[in-house]
Amino acid sequence: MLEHYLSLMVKAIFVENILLSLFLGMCSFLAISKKVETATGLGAAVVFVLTITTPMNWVLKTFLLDAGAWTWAGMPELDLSFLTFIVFISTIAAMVQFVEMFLDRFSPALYNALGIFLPLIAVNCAVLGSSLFMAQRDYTLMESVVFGFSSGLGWALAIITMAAIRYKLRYHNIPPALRGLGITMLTTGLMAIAFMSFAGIQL
Amino acid sequence: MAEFSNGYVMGFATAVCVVASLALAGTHAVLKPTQDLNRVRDYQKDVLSALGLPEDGRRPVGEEIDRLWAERVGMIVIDTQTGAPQEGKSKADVDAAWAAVKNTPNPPSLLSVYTRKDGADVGTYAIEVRGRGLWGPISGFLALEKDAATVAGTVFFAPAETPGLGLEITADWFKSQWKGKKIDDGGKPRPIKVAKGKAADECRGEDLAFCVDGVSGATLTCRGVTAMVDAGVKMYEPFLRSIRGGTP
Amino acid sequence: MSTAAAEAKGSLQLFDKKVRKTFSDPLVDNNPITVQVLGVCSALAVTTQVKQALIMGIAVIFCTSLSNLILASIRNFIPNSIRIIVQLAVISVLVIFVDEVLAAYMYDLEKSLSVFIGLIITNCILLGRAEAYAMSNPPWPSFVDGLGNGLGYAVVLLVVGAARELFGAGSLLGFRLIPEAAYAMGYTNNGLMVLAPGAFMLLGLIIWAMRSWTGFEEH
Repeated sequence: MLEHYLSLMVKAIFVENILLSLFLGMCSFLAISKKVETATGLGAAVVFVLTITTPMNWVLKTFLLDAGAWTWAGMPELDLSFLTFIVFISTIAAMVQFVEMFLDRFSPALYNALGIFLPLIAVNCAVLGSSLFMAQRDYTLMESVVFGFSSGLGWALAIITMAAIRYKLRYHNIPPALRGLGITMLTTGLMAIAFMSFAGIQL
Repeated sequence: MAEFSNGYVMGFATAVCVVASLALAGTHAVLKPTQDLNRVRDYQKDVLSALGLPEDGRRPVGEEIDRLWAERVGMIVIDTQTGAPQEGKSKADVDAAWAAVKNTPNPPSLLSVYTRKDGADVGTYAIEVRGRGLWGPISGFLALEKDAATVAGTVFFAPAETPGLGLEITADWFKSQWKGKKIDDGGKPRPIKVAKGKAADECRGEDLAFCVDGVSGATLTCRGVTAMVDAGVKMYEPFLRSIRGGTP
Repeated sequence: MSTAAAEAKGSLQLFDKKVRKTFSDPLVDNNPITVQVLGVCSALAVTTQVKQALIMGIAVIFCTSLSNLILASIRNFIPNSIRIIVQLAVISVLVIFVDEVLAAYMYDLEKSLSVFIGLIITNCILLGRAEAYAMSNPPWPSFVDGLGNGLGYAVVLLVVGAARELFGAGSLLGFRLIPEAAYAMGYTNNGLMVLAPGAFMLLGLIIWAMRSWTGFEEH
């Protein structure tokens, strides 16, 4: 049993990294990955949001949205799955609002360092993407927790690594039109190739 | 921007919720019949493909699927343990049986077998197989000739696998190589192996009838396919033996 | 003379210069993907085939222009405290509508795009343009802005999709372009194009080309 969750973790962090293989969470990745400290802070916030929202959305999906979900209230024919997207994004937005207030109260330094990128976690494709994949792959509650946590870790790993690389690149002679976004894309491509080496791993 | 009172904010939020819900519920109610029809036809198209219909290999669309299904496809529901056909059971009963064993390794109590009607005869039998690939569930239909021992066609689904790697098991080249392979070795069931590379490298002579080429870079998915087909054939074994042994 | 007269009349002209610029800017000069760095996620995820890129592009054009239009129309009534969630709600309704219509009329495509249609909601372009433009501009220019940005996004998506399908599968829109003879002579499809790294690098090169052409520099 533990093996199953460990396998899911390894797959979500390395084999199919939510950023380097599934391309989710690019926007804040590209914009904030210039200093390792801020990148770590943002990564930690995303891990927290993902670990909470994925199982939360699982509960909503299982007891409110799925076909036959309303059996507990005596209405088994009700199928509200067409509301999935809007319900998921609402819980995520609410959760991020909560994280914002929490950080403002307990860690103002990090709150200020992250600035606009904190509320932007709400529209981070990786966060909604994790919930949508959970729904598509029909995970159990425990699997949702593990998957959410691991996706967050994988995303954080990618963003911290990229910050470190970009820090090293800052004094290099890059052609003007390639500076910034262009070189980051090429670097990410190389990182993605590196992560492909994990493709054959089985636990 | 003017200051809005709390009452206004609540009222506005409620209004947004109501309008959004009505708009979505309305759209869904209007489009649901078409979507359901699409879902059913999608499933039927896959079964038809495994059974080798239409014979010229085209992809049927829309009403043609309905027509082919009504005229050429039959369904038998069998009891898994005995392999005996059950009267009066429908696909819904089989779906319920599968749902009852979801997330357990047990086979369902009822199974469905699709048959291709060639005039008054049964031309092929299609059995349903389900298993696990690398990322998520894989499934498919394995169609067998009248002798219930030779493969006539296959179709595989791997919605959660990676395109170019695991998803290749849904490609035409992978599907078509199963035709002519055998599941029965002189009266004993024998699993068809998906080789790590080329089948010819791993299986020699007569064994080649029990071997197919694998997808390079998708070893784990291919192992999943081998296990899935093997488990599927074993599940249907009582039924298949009754076909081989006597009259269906 | 006629432009000055039109401007003196106030911007009641549907297609005056300012509106035309709102439309044409996002196509190259202020392209949402290559310049504003918005909407990059799906530019990479759904471009393995031109057909997917086309449908995705059309969906985003539809959603961005309509969400801009709707939000600009009610912009003076939205309380500031629930601004973001109202924007998200409007965008979500439009995206769900697109998903429902696709499931009804293009079922196969909806199955292959599945999760990524839903991810249009978090596509930074929609929220970005809503915040930056629709909340402070009248409905018609906002609609045109949405149209332009959607189109700019679709153009990049089509270019990436065409390159990936051509080099990764030898076809375009499903039609085989590379003849069998080439394969027989030893040409093989570039598998990397179908996977993540190819997409990242391709986009990097496209950005390089586009920025060299327009002279845009980042710091």
